[in-house]
Amino acid sequence: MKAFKVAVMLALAGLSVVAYQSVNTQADPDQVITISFNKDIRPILNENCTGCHGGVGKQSGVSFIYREEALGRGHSGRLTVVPGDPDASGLIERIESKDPNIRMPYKAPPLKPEQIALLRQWIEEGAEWEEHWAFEKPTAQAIPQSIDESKVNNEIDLFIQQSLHEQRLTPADKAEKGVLLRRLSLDLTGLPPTLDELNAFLNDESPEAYNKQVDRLLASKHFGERWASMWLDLARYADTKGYTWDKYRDTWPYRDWVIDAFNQNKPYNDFVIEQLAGDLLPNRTVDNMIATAFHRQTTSNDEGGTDDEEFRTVSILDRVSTTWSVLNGVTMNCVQCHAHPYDPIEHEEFYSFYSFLNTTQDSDKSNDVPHLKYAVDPTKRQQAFDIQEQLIQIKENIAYQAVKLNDQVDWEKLDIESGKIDELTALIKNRDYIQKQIDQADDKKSWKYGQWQLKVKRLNEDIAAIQDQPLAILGIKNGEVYETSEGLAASAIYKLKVNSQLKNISALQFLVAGLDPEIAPHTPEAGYKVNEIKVWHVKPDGSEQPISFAGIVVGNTEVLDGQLSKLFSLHKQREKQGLKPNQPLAEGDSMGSAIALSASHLFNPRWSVAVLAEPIALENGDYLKVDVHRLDQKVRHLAISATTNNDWLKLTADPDRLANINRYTELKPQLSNIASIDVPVMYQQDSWDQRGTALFGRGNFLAKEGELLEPATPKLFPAFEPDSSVDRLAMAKWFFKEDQPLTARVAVNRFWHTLFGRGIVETLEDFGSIGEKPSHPELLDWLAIQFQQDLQWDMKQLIRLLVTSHTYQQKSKITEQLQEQDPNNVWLARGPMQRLTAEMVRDQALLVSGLLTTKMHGKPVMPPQPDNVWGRKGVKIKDWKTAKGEDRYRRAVYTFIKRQYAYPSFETFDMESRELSHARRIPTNTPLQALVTLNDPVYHEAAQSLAELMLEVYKVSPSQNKQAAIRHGYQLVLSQMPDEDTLNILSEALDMAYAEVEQGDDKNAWTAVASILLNLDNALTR
Amino acid sequence: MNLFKNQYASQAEIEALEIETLKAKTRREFIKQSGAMLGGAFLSSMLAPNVAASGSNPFDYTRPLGRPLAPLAPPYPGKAKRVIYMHMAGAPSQLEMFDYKPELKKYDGQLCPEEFLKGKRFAFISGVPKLLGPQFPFKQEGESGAWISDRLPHLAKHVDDMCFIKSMHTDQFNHAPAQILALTGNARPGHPSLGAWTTYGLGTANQNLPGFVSLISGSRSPDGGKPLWGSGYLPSAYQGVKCRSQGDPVLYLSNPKGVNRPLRRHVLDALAKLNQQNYQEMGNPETLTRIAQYEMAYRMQVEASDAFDIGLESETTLANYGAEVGKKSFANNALVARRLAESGVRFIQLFDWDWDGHGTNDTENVSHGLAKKCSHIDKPIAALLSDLKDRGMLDDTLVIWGGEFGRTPMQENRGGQDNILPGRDHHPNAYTMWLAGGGVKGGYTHGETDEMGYDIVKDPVSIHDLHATILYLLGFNHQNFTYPYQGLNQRLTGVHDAHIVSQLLA
Repeated sequence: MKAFKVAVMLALAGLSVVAYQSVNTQADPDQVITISFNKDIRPILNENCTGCHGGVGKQSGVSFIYREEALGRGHSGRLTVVPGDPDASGLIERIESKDPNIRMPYKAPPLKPEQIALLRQWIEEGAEWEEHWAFEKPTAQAIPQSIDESKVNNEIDLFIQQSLHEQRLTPADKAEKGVLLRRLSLDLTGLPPTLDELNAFLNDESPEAYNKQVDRLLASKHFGERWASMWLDLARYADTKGYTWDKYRDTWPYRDWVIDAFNQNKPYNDFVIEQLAGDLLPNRTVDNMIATAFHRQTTSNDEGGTDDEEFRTVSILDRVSTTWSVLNGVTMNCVQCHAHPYDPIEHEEFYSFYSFLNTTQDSDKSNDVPHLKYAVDPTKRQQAFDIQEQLIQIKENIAYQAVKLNDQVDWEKLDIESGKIDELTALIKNRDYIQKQIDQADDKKSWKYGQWQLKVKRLNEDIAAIQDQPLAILGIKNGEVYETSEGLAASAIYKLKVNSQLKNISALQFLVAGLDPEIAPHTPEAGYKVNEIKVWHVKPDGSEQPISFAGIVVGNTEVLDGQLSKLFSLHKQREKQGLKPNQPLAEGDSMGSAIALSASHLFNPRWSVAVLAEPIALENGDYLKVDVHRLDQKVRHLAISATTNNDWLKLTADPDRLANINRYTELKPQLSNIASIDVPVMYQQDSWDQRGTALFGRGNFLAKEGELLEPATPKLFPAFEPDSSVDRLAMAKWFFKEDQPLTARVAVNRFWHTLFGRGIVETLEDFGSIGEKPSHPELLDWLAIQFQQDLQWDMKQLIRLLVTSHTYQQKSKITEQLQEQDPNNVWLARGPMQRLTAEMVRDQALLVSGLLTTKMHGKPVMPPQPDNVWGRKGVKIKDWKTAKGEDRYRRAVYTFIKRQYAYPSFETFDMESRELSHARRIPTNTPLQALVTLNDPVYHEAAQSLAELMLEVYKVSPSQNKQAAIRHGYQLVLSQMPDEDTLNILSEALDMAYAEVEQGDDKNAWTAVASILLNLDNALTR
Repeated sequence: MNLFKNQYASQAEIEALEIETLKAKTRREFIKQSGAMLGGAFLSSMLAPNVAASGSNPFDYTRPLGRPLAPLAPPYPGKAKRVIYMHMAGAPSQLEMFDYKPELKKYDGQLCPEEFLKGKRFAFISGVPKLLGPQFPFKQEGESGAWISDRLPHLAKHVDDMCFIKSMHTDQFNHAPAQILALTGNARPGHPSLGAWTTYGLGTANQNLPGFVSLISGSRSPDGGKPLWGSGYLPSAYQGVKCRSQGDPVLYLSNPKGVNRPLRRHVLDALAKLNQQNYQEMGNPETLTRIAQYEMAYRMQVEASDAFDIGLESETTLANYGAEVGKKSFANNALVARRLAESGVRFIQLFDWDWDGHGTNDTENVSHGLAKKCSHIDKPIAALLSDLKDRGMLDDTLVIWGGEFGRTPMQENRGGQDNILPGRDHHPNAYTMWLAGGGVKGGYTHGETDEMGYDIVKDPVSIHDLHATILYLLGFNHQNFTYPYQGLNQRLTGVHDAHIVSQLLA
C-alpha cells in the first residue's frame, strides 16, 4: 500500500543521514564490550569511508572491507586501526583532524562527535570485527512468549507481537470475512472470489472455514498463474528478443513451465536447479530442458553489423548478476568491474563464477540457437524429444571417437613453404554459384533475385578488375599460414606448397588456430570456414597426382550437423558404385568438400582430419600442393600435420561410426516431420572444446586480464565441494547447501514481500551490508530455517504458513496513530493493503464482468491494444493482431510481451519492462492509470459487460430492483455489500447518468455505474 | 505530511502544495556567486553543495505522497528550465552537415590508410574501403563563421545561437545500444533516460500534462525503442509518455463512445464521494491521491488535446515550420514541441528516423537521401529556434540535436564491395552534436577532428561528459544526483569518468 517511494538520497559528498543506533554511553563499567561492529561501526564506515576505501578505491592503500586490511598500513605508513589504541590509529587521527586537507571524510562534513566517540570506543575495545549478518547462516530462534493469545495463530504472530510490544503497538482485529477472502483470493490466485465462492465462505461457520479457503486456493489452477508473474519478473521473461528488431521468440513453454511448477508445488530447490541446469540433470526430461529457458530470456541484438560475441558476453554477465540477485540478494553486478565496493567479494570471483555459465552453446546468433524442438501436438513432445536426445548422443559419439584417436596419434607438423592467394578463381566460383541460383530461380520478381543479379554484376566488375593481376603472396610464419593483412581478400583459394619428410602419410590434419593462441580461448578472433580442401602429390618433374580421401573426420559436434548429411550422401554415392564407404570414386569424388572446418568465433583451435585413401610416400624433391577454398570467410592461421598411423583409415570404415552416420541421417527427417516450435534452451558445449574465461579488466570484454579462470564460488560463502563434476549443475546445487546463508532467507523474504507488500528486508535484491536491515531478523531466520528444513523447500506450505497467521488476516485500517507512528506498516499492527498488480487490474475486471476465459497455457495472446503501438513492425509476427473469441479475454499472464513496445495498460500499472531481472515493482499512482481504467476499450468493455449483469437483476422489475442490481454489481467487484450511503451515492449517479444518455439507453447508464465500481479505490487495492 | 486530510483535493490545493514545495526548496538558499568568471574553480565551488545554511537536504527528491511529478527547484541554480532534445535516429552524417573536411574531398576514391583500420571494429566495412569526400558544398555563416552544409539554408541563419560539439565520441557502433547509451548513459536497457532523470529531479510545471513527452517521426521508431524514454529503475511515473501523431496524442485520452463530458463528470463525482468515504473508513492517504489523480486525468483530457493540436496555430506559423495538420512529420512534432514547451512540459524528446546513410538504398545514403532528410528538419528547427527566441524562451530552454554516433570518412563496402550509393558506415570515434539556448554559448564550436574527420584531435567529449553538462545546465551535479538501486547510488553518468564541459557554458 505504501505510496510511491523515493528514498532519501545521500549526497556522495557525504551528507550523513545515517540512522545508526546510539549506544548507551553510560554503560555498566563491568561490561567489557558494549560496541557491536555490525550495529554501531559498519554503518559509519559504509556511509563515510568505504566508498573510497573499499572494494572500488582502496585509496591511499586503506580499505575497510576486511579486518586485516583495516588493521594494515596505508601508503602514509601509518597503521589505520591499532586495536586497543585509538590514539595510535591513523583512522582516528584523520577523522579528528582540524586541517581540511587531512581530515576525513575528505571534502565532506566531518563525522559527528558521537560517531567519533563510537569509533574510538570500538578501537579501544579491541576493534572486533563481525561478518555482515546476512553472510552468516540463519540461527535457530527461541519462539517469543505470547502477549495476546487471542491474536496468535502461529509462530509468526508471536514474533510480530513481540516487536509490536516493543513499539508500544498492538495487533488489529481480524478483517471482515468478505474483505479477507478477497485479499486472500487475489494474493493466492490473482483473482477476486466469485459470488459462489464468497457465499460458501460466508455461510461456513466452522472454525476451519478460513483454512479451507486457503487450501482451496492453493489447489486452484489459478494459483500458478498468479505466482508465475512474480517469478517472470525475475526471469525477465518476454516474447521478443529486445533491441532493434525485437524478434519474436517461441519461449512461452517456459512461462507455462513456471505456471505448472507452482501449481504442482515443485520444491523451491528443484524449481531453481532445473532452471539453472536442467540440461545437465541425469536422464533429463523435456520439462527439464524447457526450464533452462530461464537464462535464455536475456535480450539479444540482431541488428546488422553487431559483434555477436559482445552481446553474448552481455548475456552471460546478466546471467551471473541475475543468478546472484534472485537467489541470494547479492549485488554481484557491482563486482563486474572491480571488487565489491562494500562486501568482501573480489573482482576475480565474479569471473570465476562467470566461468560456470560461459560454456553454453548459445552465442547471440540471430536464429537464437540452440533450440529445443517442442512439438506443437502435446502427444508428440516426448517423441520429438527422444529423437533429439538420440541425435545429440550420436553426434557426441562420433566426435568423441575422433577426439580420442586424435589424442593418441603422433602428428608431425608439415612445413608450408609458401602460399599464394587466388582471389580470381574464388570470385569466379562464387559468381558461377550465384548465377546457377539465378538460372534456376522460379520467381524472377523476388527481392532475392534482384540481389543475386546485383551481386553477379558486382562480382563481374571485381573479376574484371583483378583478371590480369598476379596472385598475392600469402603470409607464412614457422611453416604455417599466418596472415594479418586487413586487406585480405574476402574470398580466396590458398594455394600452398607443403613439404614433408615423412614416408607413408596416411592422414593429414588441418588445424585452424587464433593468431594469438594465448588470447583466443577467452577473447575469440573472427570466425572462419573452409569450404573445401584439395591435395596433390607433386614430383620434381612437375607432374601432379591428385590425392583421394577415404573420409574426413572431425571432433566437434558443432560442425557435425552439416557434415554428417554430406558424409552420408558421399557414402551412398560410393556404395552405389559397389565401393565401400571409404573407397573413393574413380572420378568426381568430392570428399574434400566435407572438410567441415569452421567456427562462428575462433576460440580454441579446431581441426579436421583428411584420411588418405592410400598412404603416400614423398620422395626427395616431392611436395604436396594443397588448395584451401574459402568463400566470404577469412582463415588467417592454418597448420597442416601428417601421420603415418593407420587407425584413421580404420575409423573411416568403423561399423559403429558408419551406423551412427546412417542412423543420424535417418532420424533427422523423422524430427522435421513433427511440427515443432523452436524454444531457446541451454545446451553445454563439448566438454573438450569450451570457451575459456578470464577476468574482464574494468568489466570490458575486449580487455581481459590474467590466466584462464576455473569455475568457483566466492570465498565469502560456504565451500564449493561438489560430489560430481565442477559444472553449472554443481553450482546450482551449491546454492542449496545446508549452510548456505542466503538462499532460504531471500526466498522467504520474497514470499513475505509479495503477501505483505514489504519485505522483512525491504531491499529484496540487496541483502549486502548497504541493503536495508531486516525489520524482524529473528522472524526472518525462523522462517528461513522452517522453509529449508521443516518444510523442505515446499512453497505452498510456506505460503500457507504466512496467510494463516493472524498478522496477515488483520484489518488494514490505518488509524491516525499508525499513520503517524508506522506509515509504511513495518511493524504490522494492521493488515497489508496493496494496490492490485497490473495483471490483477485486468483479470479482476474481466472476471467480475463475466468476460474472463480461464483457458490456460499456450502461445501469447493479443487482447485489444490501440493501433500503431508497435513503432516497428515485427519480423516473424508482423504486428499486433487483436484476438477474436476467447483469446481476447485471457488472463494477463498470457498477453504478448514485446520488449520494445509494452502492452500500454500494463506499463501504466507498473509492470516490469522485462529487460533486466527485477525483484520489486514500484507501485505508482498517476492520472494515466485513471485514463486506462476509465477509457481503455478493454475496461470499457468490461464495464459494459458488468452493466449487463446488473441489468439482468434490474430488468426483472425496474421499479423495485434498482438497488438490488447495484448491490449485485458492488458485491461482484468488492466481495461485500455496500452500506446505505454508498448505495445512495451510486443510485444517484445512476439517475444522473440516465439524464445524460439517450432515452431508454439502460446499458449506457448502467455502464457508468459499472465504470464507477471498477475504478473505486477499494477495487484497485486488496 | 497529509495535506489532503479529510477533504477533497482541489486544483487550488494542488497548486498551494506546489508552491509550498517550491518554497521549501528555495529556503535552502542557492549559492549566490557572481557568474562573471566561469573557470574550473568557480565550477567546483558551485558543485560543492552549501547546505550548512539551511540544514534542509537539497538532494531529497521525495515528493508528497503520490505526487511524483510535483515541481522541485534543482539543488543548484540552473539556467535551463526545460529541454527539447532532437535525436536523429540512424545517425546523421556529420561530414555532410556540420564537420567540413575539404581535405577529405581531395582523397575521394582513394584507398583508406591501414592505420584507420588496425584494431578497429566496424559494423559493415570489411577489407580496405575507399575514402569518400563530402557530398555537399559548405558555407561559413553568421558572425561566428560556422561552417554548415548548403542543405541547411534556414538553420544556417541560427548558427550564432548554436553551440557545436565536433568532438563527440561513443563506444557503441550498433544503433540500438548506441541510442540507449546516448539517452540513458548505459548501452544496456534498464536504466533511466535523460528525460526520466530530469523529471525525477525537477518534476513538471503543469500537472495536467505529462512531464516528459516523446514524439516520433520518420518511417520507423528508433531502434532503441522504449528504453530511450523509459524510467529504468526509477518509478514508472518518470517514464516519457510516447505521444502519437494520429488518434489520441496520449493513449486513452478520449472518452469511450457514448460517454460525454457531463456523464464523465458524474462518474468522477460519485467516485470522489465513494473514495472519500473509503478514506474516512480506512485512513489510507493513497486513496486521497487517487481522487486527485482522477481529477487530473479529467483536466488532462482537455488540456492535452489542446496542447497537441497544431490546428490552433496560424497559417503563417504552419508555413514557417512546414507543418501540415494531420500529417505525421518531424515538422509537426517540432511545432508540437514548442506548444508543449509553452504549456510547461519539462522534457520533450523528438526522434526522427531514416538517417542511417549506408548507401544501400534511395533513402539511406549520404547524397540525395540525406539531402531529403535535411529538407525535413531544416525549416522546422529554424522555426522552432526563432519561435523560442521571439517568446523569450530560448534562454531557459535547452535545445539539443544529435545522433547516436557519426559516420565514417570511408565509403561503406559491405562484404568488400562498395555500396551502390554514396554511403558511410557507423563511426563511434567522432561525430557532431549541437546545443542551443538554456545557458550554452551560442556561436561557439568545441573540439576538432583530424583533416579526414576520422579521429578527434582536440577536446573529446564523451556521452557522459555531455550528460554531466546537461545536468549542470539544469541545476544538478551529476555526481550527487543519484537514486539508490542494486546496492549503488546510481547516476546518469554511472561510474564513468565524466566532466562538465565548461567551455560550452554561456
